[in-house]
Amino acid sequence: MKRLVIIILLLYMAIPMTWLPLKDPQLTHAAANRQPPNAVYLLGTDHLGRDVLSRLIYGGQHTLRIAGLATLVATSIGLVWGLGLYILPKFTRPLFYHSLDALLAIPGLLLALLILTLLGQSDLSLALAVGVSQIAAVARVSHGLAKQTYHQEFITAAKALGASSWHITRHHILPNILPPFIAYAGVIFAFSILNSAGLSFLGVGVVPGTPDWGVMLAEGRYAFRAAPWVAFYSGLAISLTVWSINWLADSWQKH
Amino acid sequence: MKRNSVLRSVLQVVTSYVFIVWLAATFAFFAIRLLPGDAIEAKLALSAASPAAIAEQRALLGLNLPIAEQYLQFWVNLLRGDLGHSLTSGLPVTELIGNALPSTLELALSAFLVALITGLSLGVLSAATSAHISFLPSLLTNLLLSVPIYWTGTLMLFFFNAPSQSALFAPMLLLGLHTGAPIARVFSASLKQIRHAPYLFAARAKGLRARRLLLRHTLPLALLPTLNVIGLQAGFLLAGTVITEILFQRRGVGRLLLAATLEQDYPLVQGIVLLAAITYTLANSITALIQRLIDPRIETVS
Repeated sequence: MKRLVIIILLLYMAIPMTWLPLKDPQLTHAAANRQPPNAVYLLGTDHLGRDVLSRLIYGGQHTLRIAGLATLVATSIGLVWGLGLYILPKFTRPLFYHSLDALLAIPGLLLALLILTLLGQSDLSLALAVGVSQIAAVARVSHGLAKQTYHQEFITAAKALGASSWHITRHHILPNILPPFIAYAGVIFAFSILNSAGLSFLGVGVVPGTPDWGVMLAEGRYAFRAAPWVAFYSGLAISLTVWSINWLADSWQKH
Repeated sequence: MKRNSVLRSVLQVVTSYVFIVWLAATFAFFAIRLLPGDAIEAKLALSAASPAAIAEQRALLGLNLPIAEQYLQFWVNLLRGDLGHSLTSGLPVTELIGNALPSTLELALSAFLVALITGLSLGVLSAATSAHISFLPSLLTNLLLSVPIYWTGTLMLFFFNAPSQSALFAPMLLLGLHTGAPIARVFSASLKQIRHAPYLFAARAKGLRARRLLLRHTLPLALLPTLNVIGLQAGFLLAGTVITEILFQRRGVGRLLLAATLEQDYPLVQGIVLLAAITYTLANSITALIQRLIDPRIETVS
């Protein structure tokens, strides 16, 4: 079951959307705008008469790809930073540790907004913004995980045998913290979906008009009373995806 | 001896507090100056002003000075309680933030209360009840963790009347429930972990009643790790109000922040970053202190 969910998620992120028998998500149809779900448009149409079902499926891939890239950025840099604290000379550690705290003290949303302003509005800069704004949190968690391992006896033994701190980090700490870290990466993926869709919801993430869950939710919000299905289904899709990823991360952690 | 160690941990917390706020403010100072263009350029470009006029405006605000000098000036002004003037409206930043703050504080504090109540009660309910009942609170916790706040908010607006400045109940509930979910999660996890501790087994063997066992011997210990999350959540509340304030069209720091970033209003962004960093660090320092006072086993940071 778990493997099935992972395979479905990965396939969904990788498969070219044109292979699927879907209507064009950008095709507008002024005569058929804001139609409730029916036999032709299974999930209805939005304010421009675009098919909600196909926008939902295209948009999910868009959102998940951005979130995936953001997760890669956050986890790779965060892990190196968190573990790097053990390789650095001892007297520099407080500075690096406190700089983590300082970075954490700046709201992630603000950091993401700053990066988006710096790089301009595009998919790549959204992924970078969401990823970078989570680096400090990842670094702190991986540092915490490493700390637990670091105080065990076999590390002391390795040190007594003359192992370098690089060797200890690479061959003793890293393999030990990897399983819980992968579970945590799942949580970061879930957060990335929520955050990137949130920035698109605020109108600063994905360029408006693109099929994307956050954009759909933002567009659907203004006409929520007239056509609730647009915002409803995109929000539902985000929630279900985040739920299943959280569930995966949870069961991986227990395992 | 004991008083000495308490004093030392207070001193330690305070020094790292000051250090972190200094780092965050410095980071904010340099980060915003990396951004291309600023509000003056944007504003004057629209009115087709000459380059000389732009330069004059920039000189007036000290933006043409060497960066080191700007940085020094920034701290001198800051220590005098002057955060500069907004580039778009020309009003003092302290006044702008001061005007927005009460509404945000009202929302953040009441939401924090809701978060505490939901977090702690959901945590206890999902850890300390039988399996038939406990699935419900843990389901609710997971739901709140997975559902985006901007979706719940949109759905909520469907049922509540048109958003207005004075309506506090709906936004408070929205922000509070979402802020409480991580608290519930950590609290129930630490309760479940402690439940199998040998000392509780001994207490049960001695014939202690289930309620006393829970109230006196389990809850206080499980609260210790939970305090961490509570502190983190409290620290993030100020910035966490952005989406709620936009959804419910409330005035506040969150909306000010979004507008200031979009308009590249450096001094205003800087002021809000500073405020957020101070709240975050203050909330975390308070939790660190409480934890050390409750549990002397917690070692001081090295």
